[in-house]
Amino acid sequence: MSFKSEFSKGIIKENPTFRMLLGMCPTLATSLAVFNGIGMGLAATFVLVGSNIMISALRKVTPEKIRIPIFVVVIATFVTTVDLIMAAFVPGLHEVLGIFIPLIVVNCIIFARAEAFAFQHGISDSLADGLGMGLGWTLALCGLSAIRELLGTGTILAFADFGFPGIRVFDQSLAATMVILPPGGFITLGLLIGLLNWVISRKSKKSQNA
Amino acid sequence: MEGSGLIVSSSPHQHTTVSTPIIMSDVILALMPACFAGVWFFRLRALAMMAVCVGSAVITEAALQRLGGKPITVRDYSAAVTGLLLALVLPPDLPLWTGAIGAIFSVAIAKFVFGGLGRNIFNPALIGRAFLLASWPVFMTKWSWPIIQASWIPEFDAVTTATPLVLMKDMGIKAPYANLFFGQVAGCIGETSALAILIGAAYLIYRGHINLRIPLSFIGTVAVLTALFGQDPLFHILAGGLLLGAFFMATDYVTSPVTPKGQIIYGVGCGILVALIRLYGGYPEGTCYAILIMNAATALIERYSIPRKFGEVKRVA
Amino acid sequence: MREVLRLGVVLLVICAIAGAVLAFVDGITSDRIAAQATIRLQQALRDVIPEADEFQDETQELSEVQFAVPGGKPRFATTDKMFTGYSDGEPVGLAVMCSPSGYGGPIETVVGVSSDGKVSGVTVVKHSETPGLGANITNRKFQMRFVGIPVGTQVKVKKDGGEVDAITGATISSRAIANAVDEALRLFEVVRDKGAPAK
Repeated sequence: MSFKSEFSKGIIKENPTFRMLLGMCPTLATSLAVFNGIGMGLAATFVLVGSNIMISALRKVTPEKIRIPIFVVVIATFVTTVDLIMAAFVPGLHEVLGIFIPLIVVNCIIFARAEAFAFQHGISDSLADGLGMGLGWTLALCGLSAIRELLGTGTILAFADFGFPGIRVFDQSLAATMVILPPGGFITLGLLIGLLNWVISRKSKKSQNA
Repeated sequence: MEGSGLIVSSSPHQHTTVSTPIIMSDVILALMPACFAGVWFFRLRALAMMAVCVGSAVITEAALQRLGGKPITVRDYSAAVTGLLLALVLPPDLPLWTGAIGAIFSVAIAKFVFGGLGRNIFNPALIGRAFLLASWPVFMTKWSWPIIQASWIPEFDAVTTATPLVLMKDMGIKAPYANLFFGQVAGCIGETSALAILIGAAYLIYRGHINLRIPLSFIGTVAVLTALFGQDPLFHILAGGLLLGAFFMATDYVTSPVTPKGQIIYGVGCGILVALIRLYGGYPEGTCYAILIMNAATALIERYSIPRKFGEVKRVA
Repeated sequence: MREVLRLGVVLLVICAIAGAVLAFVDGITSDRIAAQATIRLQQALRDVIPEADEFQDETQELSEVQFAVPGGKPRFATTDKMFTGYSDGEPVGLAVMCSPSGYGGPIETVVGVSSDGKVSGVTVVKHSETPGLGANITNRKFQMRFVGIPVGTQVKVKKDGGEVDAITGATISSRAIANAVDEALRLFEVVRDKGAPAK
């Protein structure tokens, strides 16, 4: 597997949200606005790349028996770093994402990549894998939160830290509040997964027929 | 059973002569009095809402079935019934596009996603209403007085209109029985007139499509509990969506238990929830949520209320 | 035994490195994080008493007036903190931080009362009300409904027999803010009568 293919598999083919259904809890909770989604996605990407590289680098010296505690320490270190940096420099976003930043530590995507990939692969492959998976998750969050922000509030691209209230597309009173409530998150995510599966199955049918 | 060549599948069992289209068209017929009452009290807005909801529901069902490569079954009227029931539980002032979205949601999410007619866990029309209430709460709680003015309508605040249950909960004002019975109160299109609903219900019972277990245990529980907590049981029966819900929504074949004992448990459960929500909940009315919650419990209720086979002895633990 | 020692040492080394990294990160960020909280508080205080250029924490005073009867019911149950705003060294108003309970939990609210005994501003610092409904309490237009209410008024929403228009469909959230304003006005009265600097 080349660097490029390790990177690109996370975007669609093995997308952590849409294809592997990993990390659903933060996906649903933080996809309320596009910038929340991007912030959350990038924070997780940073942790994922960092932990993938570290775990891959340490895999020769990490005894099999205590690999899990070591993963936890490595991941927690990166998460705390991100948490502190965000609290210091983007306090508004940090407040909105709240508990979900520290909770990256138990995000299945990161743990799954550490155990299933980084522990068995070289540093550059692990870097590519972390970047691809992280960006795949960020893209999924972006798509989901764009739909939810637009339909649920009538604005798009609101960003509290820059004091930007977002572009108003239609009046607030017309917005479907439920879309930004938890049930709306489940339904939107379900529909997106369904849509993607439908597109992929159509594509594969076409290529079989051809 | 094995070897006899007969296989008894799990419910529902369909009788040969009573088919889905017949039941569904009877339900539509039974809803006609409530529809007429709605149009009588709320005029063209009510009629337009019914047309939009039925139209959207039918078109959605046909479009989705076509897209999914399944046989198109809009001729069984089940989508039309969903649309009509939804329209009847919406406020008359609701913007029409909102009603259309509700009907699309009912059919697409509450019914089609679960596999179509007979496979849905929740009553589609009520899911549509719950979705609209969560999405556009401001529109969904804006009421208007029926066209026919009634003398009891409180004068102190002519601008704010409220349903009898809201007036009761917030201000302790009780609408007179006669107005509640005939429908001269604010409320959803099809729920204001108790008389119209009862006529329709009588027709359904006469045709043998529903039995009285669910409606009576449902309404009876509400009456007993509201009386126990010091409120007027008759008022609570007549006000809000209880009658419509008990006769037309809670008795939905697909989402309610089939066992006789189960139907009683289900009705009592609905009644307890309605009383709890009305008396102690944040919302003035709870029929919709009560039925949806009990829909979720239907499979469990059925499992524990299967009638004993003839001659079967209760196992001693 | 040797195996256990080896594992322990490896884990120890990794934890030590992690600890060092975190200490370093904390070193660069802690001042900024601490400053953020102060900045936000100052911003909220300035929002509700625009005239003031300096604020003094008077929360000490609060505990003194909290009980009408010693050991009785606290009079200002939801009030957390209070500040006196000064302009050029002269007191110009009282800012009260309360957290009345709304629909989704406590709503951290700051209410300003200017020295002439009228509400000068209301702002919501933190809340978890329903988006699209109760969350509209952060709306300036709604907050302005309270500005100018004089001391001695019972602040209530219309549904409860008061004067304030509640947000449609969000009576509970609106009521919470009304309670905060009511409490702030009563507190102002008590502090004024006691002859505190807010006079």
